[in-house]
Amino acid sequence: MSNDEINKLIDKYLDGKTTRAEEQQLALAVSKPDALEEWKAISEMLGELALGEAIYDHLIARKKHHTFTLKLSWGIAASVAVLLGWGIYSHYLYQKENFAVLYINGIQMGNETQALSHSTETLSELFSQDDTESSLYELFNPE
Amino acid sequence: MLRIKSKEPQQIARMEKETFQKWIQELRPKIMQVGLNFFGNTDDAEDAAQETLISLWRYCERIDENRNIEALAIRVAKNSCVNLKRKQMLMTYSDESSLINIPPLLSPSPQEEMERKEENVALQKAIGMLNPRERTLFEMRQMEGLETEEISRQTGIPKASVQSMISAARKKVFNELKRRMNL
Repeated sequence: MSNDEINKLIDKYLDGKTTRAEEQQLALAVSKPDALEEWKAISEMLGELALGEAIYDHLIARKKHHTFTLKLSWGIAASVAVLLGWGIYSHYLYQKENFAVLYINGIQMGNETQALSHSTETLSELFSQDDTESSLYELFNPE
Repeated sequence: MLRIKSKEPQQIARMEKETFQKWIQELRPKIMQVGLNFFGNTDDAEDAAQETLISLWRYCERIDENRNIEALAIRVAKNSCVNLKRKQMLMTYSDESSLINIPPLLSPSPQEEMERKEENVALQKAIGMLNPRERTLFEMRQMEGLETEEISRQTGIPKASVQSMISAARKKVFNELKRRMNL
């Protein structure tokens, strides 16, 4: 949020018109390390409970998104396994008559070993777990 | 329904320990669930729940005994989870430089604690200047995080009036706080 947007939200807060979600957003904005000195009073008024709740809700939302991504990746992994199986079978058939090509993440695989290695690497990236630290850092250190 | 009486703040009955303990029996499963959702394990959820009960009692000492504290309890539980996570992160990192830009919550450093206390004293004095009704509405929003509609439902005060009174209370507190904090 820009300083201008924060000041507008502060005015809305003092008019008693902000929602709880907006107050959480404001609590985050006025507690950042680069927050203006004049916002200290607002930060104090919003209270520590608003800030803590904002961080909690943000981390839970990130966790849910991550869980969805993991479930999606299981689906992808299953698909990769099927494709790999098909690729191996097709390779066998190719020796007789047919031809098939296996792609993973848009990259053409030359053989089974490469396919397995690439699948493993892709799934490891998807399955990396706790990103709490990066979530908190993003909240309070905007680029 | 919470009736806001026109009494001086010191005449409002504060929550008794027995009443608090009854509330805790009812709220404990919900407080635990907040922790389980966050940590995904019972041990950390238990630790956060313990911290929640201690913090919750401190808040309850300041509010009317007839208040429904469920919303407050959930809020305090969420804060306890974040606070515990921060402590765990501090123990993980050998130096704090990577966490230096994440603000402290319920357990700041000694210097931060001192500044916090001074600012909080200023805030309490500013709130003390409100009339009882303004103070109650201000705290229902600030501490419990209740939306205007819910405050209106609980108090019987029309929504437009709730908004107007909260606005008046906030502006009074804001001006007084700026004066005390020399902003």
